[in-house]
Amino acid sequence: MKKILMLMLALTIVLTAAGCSGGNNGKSANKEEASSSSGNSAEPATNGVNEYGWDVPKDTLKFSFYAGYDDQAEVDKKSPPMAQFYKDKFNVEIKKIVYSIDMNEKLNLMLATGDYPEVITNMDDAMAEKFIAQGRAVDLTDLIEKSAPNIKEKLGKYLNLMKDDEGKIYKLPALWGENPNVAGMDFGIRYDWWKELGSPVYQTPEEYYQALKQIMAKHPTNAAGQKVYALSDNAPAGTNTQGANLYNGMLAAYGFKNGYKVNESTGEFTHWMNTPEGLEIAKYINRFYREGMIDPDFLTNKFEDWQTKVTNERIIGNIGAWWQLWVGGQEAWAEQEKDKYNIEKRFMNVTVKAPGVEKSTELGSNFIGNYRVIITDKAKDPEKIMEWFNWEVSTLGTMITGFGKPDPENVWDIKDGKWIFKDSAMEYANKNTNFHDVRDKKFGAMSFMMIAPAGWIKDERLDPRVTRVSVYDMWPIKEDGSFLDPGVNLSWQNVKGESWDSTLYTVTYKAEDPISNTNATIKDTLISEWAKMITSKTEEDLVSKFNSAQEKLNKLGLHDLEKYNADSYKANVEKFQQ
Amino acid sequence: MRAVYVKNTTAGRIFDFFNIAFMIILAFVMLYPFWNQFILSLNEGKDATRGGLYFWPRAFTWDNYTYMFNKGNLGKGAIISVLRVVVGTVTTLFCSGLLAYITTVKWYSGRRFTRVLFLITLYFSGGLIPTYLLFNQLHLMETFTVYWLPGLFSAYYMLLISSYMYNLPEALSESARIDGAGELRIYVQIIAPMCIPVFAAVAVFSAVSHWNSWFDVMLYNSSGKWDTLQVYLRKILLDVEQMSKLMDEQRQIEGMRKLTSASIRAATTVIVTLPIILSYPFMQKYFMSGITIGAVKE
Amino acid sequence: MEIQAKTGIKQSGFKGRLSRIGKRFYRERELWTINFFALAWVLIFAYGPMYGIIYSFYNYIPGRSLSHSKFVGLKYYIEFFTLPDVWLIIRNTLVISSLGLTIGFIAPIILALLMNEIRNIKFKRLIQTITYLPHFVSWIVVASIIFTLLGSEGAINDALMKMGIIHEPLKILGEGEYFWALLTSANLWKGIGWASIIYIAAIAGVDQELYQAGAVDGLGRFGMAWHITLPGIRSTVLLLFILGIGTLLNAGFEQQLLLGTPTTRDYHEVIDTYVYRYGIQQGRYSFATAVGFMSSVLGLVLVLITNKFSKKLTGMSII
Repeated sequence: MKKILMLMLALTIVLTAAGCSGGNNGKSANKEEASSSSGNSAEPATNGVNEYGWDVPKDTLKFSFYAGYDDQAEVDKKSPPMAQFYKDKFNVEIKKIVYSIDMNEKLNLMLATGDYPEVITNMDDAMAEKFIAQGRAVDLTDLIEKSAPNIKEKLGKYLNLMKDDEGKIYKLPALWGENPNVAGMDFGIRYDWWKELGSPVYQTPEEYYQALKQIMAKHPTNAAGQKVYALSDNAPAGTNTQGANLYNGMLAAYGFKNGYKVNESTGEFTHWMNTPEGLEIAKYINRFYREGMIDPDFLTNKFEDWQTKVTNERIIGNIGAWWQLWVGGQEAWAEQEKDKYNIEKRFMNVTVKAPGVEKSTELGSNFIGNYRVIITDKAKDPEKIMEWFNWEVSTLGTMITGFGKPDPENVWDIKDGKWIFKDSAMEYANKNTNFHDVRDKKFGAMSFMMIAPAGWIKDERLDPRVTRVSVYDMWPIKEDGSFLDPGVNLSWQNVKGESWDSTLYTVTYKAEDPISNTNATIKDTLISEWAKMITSKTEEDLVSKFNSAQEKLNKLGLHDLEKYNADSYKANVEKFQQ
Repeated sequence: MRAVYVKNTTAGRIFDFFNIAFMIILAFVMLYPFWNQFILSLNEGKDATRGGLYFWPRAFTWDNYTYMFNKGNLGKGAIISVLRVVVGTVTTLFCSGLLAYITTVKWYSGRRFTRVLFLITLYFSGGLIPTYLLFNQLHLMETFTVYWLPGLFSAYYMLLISSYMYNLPEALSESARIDGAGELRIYVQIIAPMCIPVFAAVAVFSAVSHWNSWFDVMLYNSSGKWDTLQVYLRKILLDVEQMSKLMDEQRQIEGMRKLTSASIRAATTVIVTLPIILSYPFMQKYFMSGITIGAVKE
Repeated sequence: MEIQAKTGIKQSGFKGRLSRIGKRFYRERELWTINFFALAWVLIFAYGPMYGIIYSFYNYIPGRSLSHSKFVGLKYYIEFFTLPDVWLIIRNTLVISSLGLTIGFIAPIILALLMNEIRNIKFKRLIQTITYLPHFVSWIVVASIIFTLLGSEGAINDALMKMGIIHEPLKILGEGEYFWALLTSANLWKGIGWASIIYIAAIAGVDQELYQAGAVDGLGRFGMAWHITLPGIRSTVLLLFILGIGTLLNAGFEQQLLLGTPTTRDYHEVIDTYVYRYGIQQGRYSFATAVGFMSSVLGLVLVLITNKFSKKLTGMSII
């Protein structure tokens, strides 16, 4: 009893020191920091809760974790400040292991040799299942119940999705949470050229097409005399998926969910190739091709080729992920042109919705993400590791994990219980040096991230001058809620940043299930059939190609895939609502 | 050389002209990819993303090289690479050559059996996992030995060398045998010196493959203790590949940020490739100038 | 070529045979001692891991012992042949590797012969060094160069347009029909100099006295190349050809992934890329092993058949 009282006392002091003043934020703070300690032993096992809400153990907590593909030399160079901080203030020594070979390959070798560390994170779901099936992952069900109130609270009902058929939990999500982005799959356009036209409002694919067409007429070539195109596409080297961005973006505009049209009342899933909208989409893209508005190399560009074209001002718009335009456009120009850079020279992201569609699905948010973390049977003290997990998941724990030690030198510090970002870190023009470099290179931030959410961090104590904070990034804002960087406002004034929850629609294909082969075959066939469709010379030709592709895909088992997706969604919903 | 024996004819001269012209064009085409990397490595990284770099750097800089030299311990990597090439090549050459020799001794009863046994290994392998388990059991992980021991005998080199040895006159070794020379001595003193061109060619193959290999370094020496120079290049190239495997949008952006520029990749290519290319001419003279077997025939 | 060693007077019966074997071993003791190390090595390092082939008959998951894995017999073998597109993939594999075995095989020989005719030794060495350079440039870099040069606005199309030979840019990259030619050329570009090294070494090994004799017989340069040099490197050529036949089902992997595009899928997908995508990437080791094993068996059988033919036709055999 005495110890618990002491603990409570220490906790209160910490919380008061942390400036838990507002009163209305008490709920999250209280619940969060109280990680239970093993109170029944004769000797106190801890030195009390530290100022960061971690119950410092007497015996150093030591363990190592494997975090996937990276260069160990880089990790060893980067992580010491963080390791030192954890050692001094937390009495925790964590070793991060990474390998320069493919993670799944390494995990299979680890399984074969039986040689793996206590914790494995950033693994995909199928690999986690392999470890679980062989009894190499620790049952976390009771541990979560006992020592991880934060995990229970923050994951909420989503934790149910981690349960196996017997209701046991062996894996937890890594890189999870609500998507903090404003933009997703959008219909981007060159802002300055669009403004030149008198800022025409475009909200439907047709209007987008018209806007692009007008700009193309005004800007037939770039400064070097090279041809300018309305659209293009790209894929990372070695994947051969060029063209896929185009239909993925269009499907979002048509409100499709992960490529399926979902009938909520019947629970029926229809793949887009089996819908009339699919043909419409193909016709839409094909029009760009037939009218010479699409880069002739759009099916061969690798990301870097595409980037070169964007940087050379040869591309007006893009259907696809927002950040590609960001990297190839404004970021590159700002760096190249330095002081002469005009912030209006940039891309704007716009949410486009096909007529009659209720809600577009351009910004998806998969709460549990695609990665998992497990505690393996090598762990000497799984309970203690779970306590650490619990701390990492607390908002303050996530902040420290993601941004490094709170320090006047770092990008953030704790002042009067508030988590304040440094002014220099908010200078948008020098974000890479003042923000990313400081926390990464100087403070080793994110070095030991195992289970902290990658999604939106929301907390009352967080600096009100920033929003959409995640361990990766943060966006400074003005008092009126608009972004501090006027350029960002220009880019994002036409995207609402409301994400739809795609979690339950996400399907994992198990390796031994034949459907995973069907899925892979259909994916590959679809991409090559799509490429043929949209490069048709006439519309009749397109229709016949679409029909034959549809037939081909259905023969390959598209209907099975539809059913599998529908069933898996149903199962997810049932699990979720347990 | 050979030209001494033949008088050149008009047809020969026309042929020479076209041959040399062809070779110059060929040289240009072949030099190009390397030249392209070279100029890219001397160009400023941000500027290079604008493309259009064909023959000369546009914004000249040494930065890409200084970046690489500051980044990792290139010197140590180079020493380990050289050590690997030397040890690996010498041992492979000696052992595969010896194997080739014993399988060309025509009265040796184990000849065919051995050749078939080795030939099979050219086409069959147990795969990654069993090999990894074996090396683990043999305690070859994190050792230098793993670089040369698994490649000690090569069926391919054995066949190459023995196809050359077949052309040698048998009388040579037989007379030595009659004189009481041991097999090892015959191999070292009589056969090997006559096989210099093929040994030189195999040495080039082996040296280059040792120099270029990276997968075994990363797989069996993952701690980085024995990192070779090539690994530095591979790590940079693999980053590009790994990008495509990221399923999470945030991680994609993060990966994009961390991606090194094409110029740095090019600089690394040049740094990693140049030493082995420069050492080539030293090997070249051994397999490009012929030897006269006839002199020892009698 | 076989020379039967005469090991004394013929004896009959088991004892005799034993003593014959014993005598033979005694005579070959040195060779066997040397061979002992080679055999030990090959059994451990090459044959040791081959038990992995058994995995192809089981539903193997790394970390599970075989006794805990389900025996599935030929399931994965049959699965390969029932995959959609399997014939397309086999066709692509055969076409691409046949191109490699013909054009890709002959070109380095011709290059070596042509290089041999260069009289200036310094120039000869320089050319030889330059032609082997592309071997050192990784595929990812080669692919990016090819894309910048051959793209619809690349240097090649640019030049052709300026010269007025074409009016519309050629679509060399996106077209399936061009893919095989593109791939073969890329392979040639990257590999011809490298592959010619061994022929150059073989040419160097041709007995110089033969040329002197040829000169006496009045052979010209072409005659010498045809009657002396070529026959002189015949055994190397045959050896490499026979070995190459064994890789008929391995048509390359990295280059297909890097040079292929969605529109060329019907032409670029080969067995190795397929196994990578549907086996390794999905963690299906057994399937990947099964397909690999089939290619190996077929490869070895082809090698043995070719070898037999070679023995009959030319008297030369690699084993």
